[in-house]
Amino acid sequence: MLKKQQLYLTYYALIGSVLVFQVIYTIYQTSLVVAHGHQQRTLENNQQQLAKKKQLLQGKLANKTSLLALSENGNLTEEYQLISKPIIIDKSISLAAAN
Amino acid sequence: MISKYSRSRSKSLPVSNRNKAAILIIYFGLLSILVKLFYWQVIQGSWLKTAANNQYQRTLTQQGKRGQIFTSDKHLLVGNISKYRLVAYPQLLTEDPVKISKLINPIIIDDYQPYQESTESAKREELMDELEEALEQKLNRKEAKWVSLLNNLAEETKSEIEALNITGLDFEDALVRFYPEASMAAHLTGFVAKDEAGQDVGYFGVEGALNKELSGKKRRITLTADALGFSLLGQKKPPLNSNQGRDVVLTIRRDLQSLIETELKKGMEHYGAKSGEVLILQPQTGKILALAAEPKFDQEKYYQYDPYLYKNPLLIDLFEPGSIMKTLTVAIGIDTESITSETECPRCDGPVAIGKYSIKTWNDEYHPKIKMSDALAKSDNTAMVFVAEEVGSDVFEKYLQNFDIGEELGVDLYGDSDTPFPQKWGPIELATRSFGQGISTTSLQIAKAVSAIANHGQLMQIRAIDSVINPDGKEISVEPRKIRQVISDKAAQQTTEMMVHAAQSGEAQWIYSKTHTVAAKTGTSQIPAEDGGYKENATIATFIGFAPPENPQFLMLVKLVEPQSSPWAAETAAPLWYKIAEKLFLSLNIPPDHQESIGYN
Repeated sequence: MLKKQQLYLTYYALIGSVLVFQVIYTIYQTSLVVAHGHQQRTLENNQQQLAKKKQLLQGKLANKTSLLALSENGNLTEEYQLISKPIIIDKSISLAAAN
Repeated sequence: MISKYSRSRSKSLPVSNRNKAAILIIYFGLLSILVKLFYWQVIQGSWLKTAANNQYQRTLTQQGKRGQIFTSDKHLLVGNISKYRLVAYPQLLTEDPVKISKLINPIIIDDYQPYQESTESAKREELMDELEEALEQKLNRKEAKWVSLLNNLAEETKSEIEALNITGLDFEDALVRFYPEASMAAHLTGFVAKDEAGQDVGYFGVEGALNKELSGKKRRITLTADALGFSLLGQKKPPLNSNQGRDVVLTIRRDLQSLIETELKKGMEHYGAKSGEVLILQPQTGKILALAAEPKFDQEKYYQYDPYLYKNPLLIDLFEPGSIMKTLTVAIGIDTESITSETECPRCDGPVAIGKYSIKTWNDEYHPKIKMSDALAKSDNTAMVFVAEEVGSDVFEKYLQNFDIGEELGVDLYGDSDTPFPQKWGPIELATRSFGQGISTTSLQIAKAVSAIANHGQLMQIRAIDSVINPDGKEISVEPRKIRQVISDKAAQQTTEMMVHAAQSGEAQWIYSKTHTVAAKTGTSQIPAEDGGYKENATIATFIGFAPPENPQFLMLVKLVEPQSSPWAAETAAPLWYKIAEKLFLSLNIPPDHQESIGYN
């Protein structure tokens, strides 16, 4: 009688432990899904934010390096000498030239 | 006596009825389940499926960004920028509208367009008060759930307002086009505007021609979502940027584009021209290095300009090319071996009579036995008539078609199409067309044809696009394409030598480069009047040339419409051409090949 009872106990304990394992495993899997989904969303949001930031910086860089801005900020007539007639040196009295 | 058998039968009867009843109940139960299943699965099936899908499926609509446009050095010419609309929910406001408007007005005023455009301080103060009052009125509309306060706010403005932490205010963002180089290359880029459905559409230039490639795609993504509506893991989503439009890299050089736009504007003011065009091509590849036309428009404020300005005149506007056509006539004559540069014209001693018409030279001066090289330099109409007659009308017409006169360019610019090519080729038509009258062409067509002379007789496809960049970053280059060999290399070389001679001893010799050899030709053409004939005292002055002649680094066309200081190209378009060329020699690193040297000891 006792042996039969022990057998039942073992049987239900086994079933119980399998169920508990399944429950824990399911919870673990679900938490992974939720956590990864959350992480994915966070990364996607970050990517979007960074793309937006990159675009903004690209725009600022383009504005800063535009010829329009350079001509407005710099005084080209004072900084550069217009070359309308290049000076070409074709005669020299140096020793190297003589040889 | 009741037998055992009969007793047992009488006892078993009620049990059997119970069994039957139980079986019946089970059957009914099963039947009702079947009926219910049929009801839910068949009758209500489609509705339930939709309801379930709605519960765990989420559909997102993503609009991809429009592709950007770059110059050949990959500098941003047309980009996208986020602009914000400030909106308010009046019913959710916790602070007094007067206080809110006083707080935000000084921040948003710089983004208020009338304020930006105003320069007078009194007017600006007035506009500031006007905006504050408008804000107050909108914020006080308590019956409205949502009101729009101001559009086109910059990122910095948005951040400043957000820092105030006012409940009931929010922002909506939208990407708009921005132009770091302002209106540079407006005729090449075109502009973006809204269509009837409120969608961004490119008009004119590259924006119009490549609208499909530049446009971001609208994408619907269906995802399985969790109870909170977030997507579940393990679902493949397309990359974020994959629906973005393609970026386009133009062939134009930013420095050259800026140079010709500045010089053209100055030149037009100096010579009093109504309009003007400058085009720089690379003969070996057909690349457009720079293209400018005046008057032009501002892409950002296109709506403030007359729509006729949107069209690219170098692509659309037809004109009689005049004497620059003589370069083609001479090239055809040499290629068909009808003439050489040394051939003497046997009937150039006076006007040429064709039927009832008499063909004269532009200055009514005649040179008997003039050599062909001198005839081109002196822009002698009678000599050109001689060449065309020697070639014959059929062959002459065929050559012009091979030079793609009247043909669509195949360039990725809006409005590129065939232009009328003359059908009738009688003796007088042949004669006048030999010196560029009675035939019309566009600036790009004639420049393409002359660039074949500069490129050893090879006609190249004109290109405005250098490469296209896919959303994944892959760059697809547009390779140079040879259309055909129009004339032989030898004929091209001889024509080039004649053009060098024309530049050195022709009408524009006074301005000839002191440092670089140039092959060029002037052209002064009349403007057809609407009622027939030609307009009086109105000309189109053109100058086309390339340098260095043996291996041209650029070909440039300058065209001035109705210059007031002089009707002649030699006195208007030619000096402007040389002024720009002088800077091009430096920019393109072309060393001088001769000089009026200044010796230093």
